Amino acid sequence: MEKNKIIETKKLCKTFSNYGNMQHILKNIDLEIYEGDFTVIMGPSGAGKSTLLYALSGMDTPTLGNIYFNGTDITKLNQDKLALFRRKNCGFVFQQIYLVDSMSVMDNILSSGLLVNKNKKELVPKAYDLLKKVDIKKEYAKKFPTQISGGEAQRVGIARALINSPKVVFADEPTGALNSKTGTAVLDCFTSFNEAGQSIVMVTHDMKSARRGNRILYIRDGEIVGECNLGKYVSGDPERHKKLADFLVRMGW
Amino acid sequence: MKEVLLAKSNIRKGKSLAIGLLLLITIATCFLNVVLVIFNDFKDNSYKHAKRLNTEDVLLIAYGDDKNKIDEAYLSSITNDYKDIEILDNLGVDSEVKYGDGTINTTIIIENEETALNARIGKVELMDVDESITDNYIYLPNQLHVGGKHKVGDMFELKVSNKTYKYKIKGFINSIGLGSYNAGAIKVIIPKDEYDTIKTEGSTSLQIKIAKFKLNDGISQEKFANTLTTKLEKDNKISAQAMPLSLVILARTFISTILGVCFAVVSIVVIIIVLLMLSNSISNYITDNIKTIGALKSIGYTSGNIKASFIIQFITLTLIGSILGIGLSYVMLPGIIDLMTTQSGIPCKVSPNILWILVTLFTILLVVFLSVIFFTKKIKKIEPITALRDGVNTHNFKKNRIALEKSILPLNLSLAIKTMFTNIKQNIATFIIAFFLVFSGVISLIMYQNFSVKPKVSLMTFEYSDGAVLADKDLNKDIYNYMSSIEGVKNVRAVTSLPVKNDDNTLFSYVLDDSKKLENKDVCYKGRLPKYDNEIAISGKYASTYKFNIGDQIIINKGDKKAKYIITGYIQSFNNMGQEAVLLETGANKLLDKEINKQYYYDVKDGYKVDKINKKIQNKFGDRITSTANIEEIMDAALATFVAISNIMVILIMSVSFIVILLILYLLMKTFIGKKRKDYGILKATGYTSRNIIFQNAISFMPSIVLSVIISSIVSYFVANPYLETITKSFGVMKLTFDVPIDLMIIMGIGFIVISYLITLFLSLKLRKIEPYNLLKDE
Repeated sequence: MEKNKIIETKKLCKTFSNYGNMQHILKNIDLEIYEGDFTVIMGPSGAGKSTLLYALSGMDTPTLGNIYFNGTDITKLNQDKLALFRRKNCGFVFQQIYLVDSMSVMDNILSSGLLVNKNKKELVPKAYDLLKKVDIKKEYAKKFPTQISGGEAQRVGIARALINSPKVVFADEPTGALNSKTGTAVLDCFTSFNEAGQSIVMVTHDMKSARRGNRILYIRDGEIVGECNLGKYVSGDPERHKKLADFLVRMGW
Repeated sequence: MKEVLLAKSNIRKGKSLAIGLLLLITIATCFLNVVLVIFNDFKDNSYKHAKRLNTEDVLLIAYGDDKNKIDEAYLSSITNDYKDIEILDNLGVDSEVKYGDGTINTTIIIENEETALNARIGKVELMDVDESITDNYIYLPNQLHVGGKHKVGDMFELKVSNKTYKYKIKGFINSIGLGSYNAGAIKVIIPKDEYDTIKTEGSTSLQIKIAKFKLNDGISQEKFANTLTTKLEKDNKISAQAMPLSLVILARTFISTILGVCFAVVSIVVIIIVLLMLSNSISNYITDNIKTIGALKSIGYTSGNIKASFIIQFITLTLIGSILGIGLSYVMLPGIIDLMTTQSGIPCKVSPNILWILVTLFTILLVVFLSVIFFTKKIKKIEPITALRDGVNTHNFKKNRIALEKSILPLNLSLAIKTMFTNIKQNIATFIIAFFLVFSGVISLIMYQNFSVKPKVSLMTFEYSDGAVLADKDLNKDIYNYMSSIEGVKNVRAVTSLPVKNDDNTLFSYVLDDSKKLENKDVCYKGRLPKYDNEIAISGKYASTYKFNIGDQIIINKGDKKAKYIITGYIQSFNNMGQEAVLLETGANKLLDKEINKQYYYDVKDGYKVDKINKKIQNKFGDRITSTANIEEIMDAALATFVAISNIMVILIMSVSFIVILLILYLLMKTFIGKKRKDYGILKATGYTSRNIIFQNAISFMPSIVLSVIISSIVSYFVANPYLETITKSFGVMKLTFDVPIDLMIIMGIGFIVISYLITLFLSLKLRKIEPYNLLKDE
C-alpha cells in the first residue's frame, strides 16, 4: 500500500553567515516524509539534523528551496501564518524539555491546546487522558515543571505535543537529557503513539532511540546520504538492531 | 585591575541598562544641582547685591501729621541699636501700575533723581539707561522691566490722586529695598523739577519720611523694625511701616522657594527611581549570571572582588551621568533664573559653582555607592558549587495563579496575568515608580488648575471684588451711599487695611464694615469672622506661632491705644506671611483717635464695566478719591508669575514623567524579554503568533500600572492638599483648599496608562521578527 506523503522538500538549503564566512548547513535536500511513519534523522554532530527538523516543522525558515506540508508550501508563509500552521499541524518535543516553568503541568498542556480548541469540556479530559497515556499521575497536573523529574517533564512535553492531535510530532533528541530508564519510558510513549497512527519525525544520535523508528535517514554535511527501512518496531528484536548497526557503519558513524 | 575588567564586561553586556541608568542619573543630578543653585546662589545673589549697594538693614516709611518729627536726634533718642542712618523726604502714593497684561496696585515711593542717585545707604544702580532721553523721564524698578514688560523709551503713566503724569522710561534701577511690589512698595525716580511739580500739585498727605538704618552687629532686623514702629506710633501721630531686609528678600524670592521645592521633589523622586532600578538590575544580574559568579568564585575571586566590580561599574556610570546632569543643569538654569528674576527683579547671572557641583556629585555618588554595597550583600552568601549547579532556585510557585483549566478569561489575557504574577518584582517596581510619577503629576495639575485654569483667588488675597476705591475720610458716609446707588454696582463693602500690633509684632489687619458682606468665604478656615466690636480673627500661622487659640483674649495696640479682643477664628492668605487679622470697624475704632481713609470694594452686575464705574466715582468726588482699582486686572497681573510657574511645572513634570516611565519600562522590558526568551520560544513553537506574545508581554505590565495610577490618584486626591500645606504654611496658608481637578486627573491617568501600554507594545515589537528556533537556540 502506498503511503501518503505528508511533507516534501525540494532543493532545501540553509546557509548561515558567520562573520562573513558562509556555512552551508543544508544543501539541496529533496526529502519526503510519510504519514504514519516514525522517521528518525541521524548523523554526526553539526551535520544539520536539528536544522532540518526545525525547517520541516516551520520553526526556522530555509534560505532556499520549498517545503510542502500537506501540499502547502510553508516557505511562503510569514511568521504569524507559520505560527497558525504549527499550532494545527505540529507537535514538538525538545531535548531541553522546554516546559514553561511558571506554568503548572496542566497549564503547559492547555496553553497549547486552547489555541486550537476553546472547548474546555472536551480539552481538559483529553489532557488528563494524555497524561495518563504518558504515565503521569493525575495529581501531578497541578505541579510545576521544577517540581517533577526530567523524565516526567519530558513526558508532559509529549502530552503537550499531542494535545492538538498534530499531523506530525517533531522530536529533537528527546532522550538526550534523560537517564537510560526515563529515556526508555519516553521512547515507549513515542512508540505507542506511533502505533496508534501518529506520524513522528525524530532527530537523535542515540541508537537505542533510533531503533524505535521504521525509517532512518542519515545526514552528513547537510546532505541526506543514506536511508534505512527497519519496518515495524518489535521490542527486543536483535535483527532490527543489527540492521541499524550495519547501516550506521556503512554511513561511517 | 580584574575588578575593572569585570565591570567593563558587565557594562558591555548590559549596554541598554547602562544607558538607561545613565539618563536617570543625569536627570536626578541635573535637578539636584538646580535645587542647590536656587536655594543658595539665587538667594545669595540678593544679599550680594544688598551688600554692594550698601542696602539698609531696615527701611522705615513714615507718614502722618507728626512725621516731620523724625530726624536723627529723635530716632537716636528712642533706639541706639543702629550704627548709621540716612533720612530722606520723599513722596508716596498708593496707585495702579501697568504690569504685563494687567495692573498692580502698590505703594509707589517717588524719589527725586538728585537725592536718589546720591544716596549713601540703599544705593540704586541704573540699568539700560538711554542717555538720549533728557527730560520728562522716569526710572522704574527692574521688576517692572523683567516682569512688567515695560521697555526703555515707552511712556509710563504715574497716577497721583486723580492726576496722571506721563514720563518716558529712561532706564531701570536695581535696588534691593523698594524694588519689588511683592515686598510692599516700589520706588521710581524722576528729575527734581518733575518731583517738585508733583509735590506742589499734590496734597500734603503725599509727603513721607524715609529712614534707612544700618544696624549694629547682632541686632535682629525684625525685632528692631517692630520695636521702632511700636515706639513711633505710641508717642506720635505717625503711621510707620518698617521693612527688614531679610523679609524684603524673602518676599522677593518666594517664587524661587516654590520652584526650588518642586525641583527638589522631582529630584528626590528620580533618585528613588534610580535606587529601585539599581536594586532591580543588580538582583537580575545575580540571578542571570549565577553560574558566572560561581565560576569566578571557584577560580579565586572573592565576594569583595565581585562587589568591587559592581561598585566600579555603577560609580563609573554615576560619575558620567552626574557630569552630564551638572552640565545639563547649567543649560537649564539661565531659563529658570530668568523666570525667577521676573518676580525678584534682582539681576542674577549664574556661573558654575564648584561647591554645589561637588556637593551634587558627592551626594549622588554616596547614595549610589551605599545602595550598591547594600544590594550586593547577597553575593557573599553564594557558594561557588551551588551557583555552578544552576544556583539558587528562584522559582517559588506556591500557587498556580489563573489556572487555565478554570480561568474564564480569554487565553491570551490569562497568560498575560500569569506572566504578571511570575514577574512580580518588576511589577512592584513599576507600581512604585508609576505611583510617584502620578503623584508628582497630580501636584503639577493642581498647581495648573488653581493658578492657570481657575485661579484660587480666595487664597491669594484676603478679599476679592471687581473694583475698589480708596477715599478720603471725609467722604466715608457719602461715598458708600453713592456707590450703592450706582446702577450696576452691588455689594459695596469697606475693607480697609490697618497695620496694628500685638506685643511688638505687626498684624496687617483688615477692617470690615460687615463681615457678612465678605465675598471670600474661604478666608476664615476655622471658627468665624468677628461679629461684635470685641472680636477679632487672626492668621492661623500667627496663632500657631504665638500659641493663641480660638476663644483666647488678645491685646492689640495701635500707637498709644490698646484694646482686648476675643479670637473668634483663624484666617489665611498668601499675603503678609501669615501676620494678618480682621476687625470690625466698631472694633477698630477702639484703636483709632480719628476716622481713617477707607477702602471700598464693590462688585458689578453682568454687562457693567468696572473702569466706567471707577471713572464715574472719580468724576463725582474728584481729588477726594485717593485711588481706584480694577481688581480683575490686578489679579491677572499678580497671578502672571504663578501662571508661568504652574505651566512650566506641568510641562516639566509631565516631560520628566514621560522620559522616566519610558526609560523604566525600556529597562524592565529588556530584562524581562531576556528572561522570558525561552518561554516565548516555547510559546511560538507551539503556535502562538507574535501578536499573541506581544499582547501578553505588554498587558502583563498593565495591571501594576493601572492599579498604581488608580491608587496614586486616589491617594493624591486626599493627600495633595495636606502635602502642599507643608510648603504653604510658611507663607501663611495653613489649610489648603486647592481644587483637585478630577477631570484632568482622569485624562492624565488614562494618558499615562495608554502611553505606558504603547511603550511596552513598542518595546515588545522586536519579538515579532525573532523565529522560535532562534529564541530557543539562544537560550
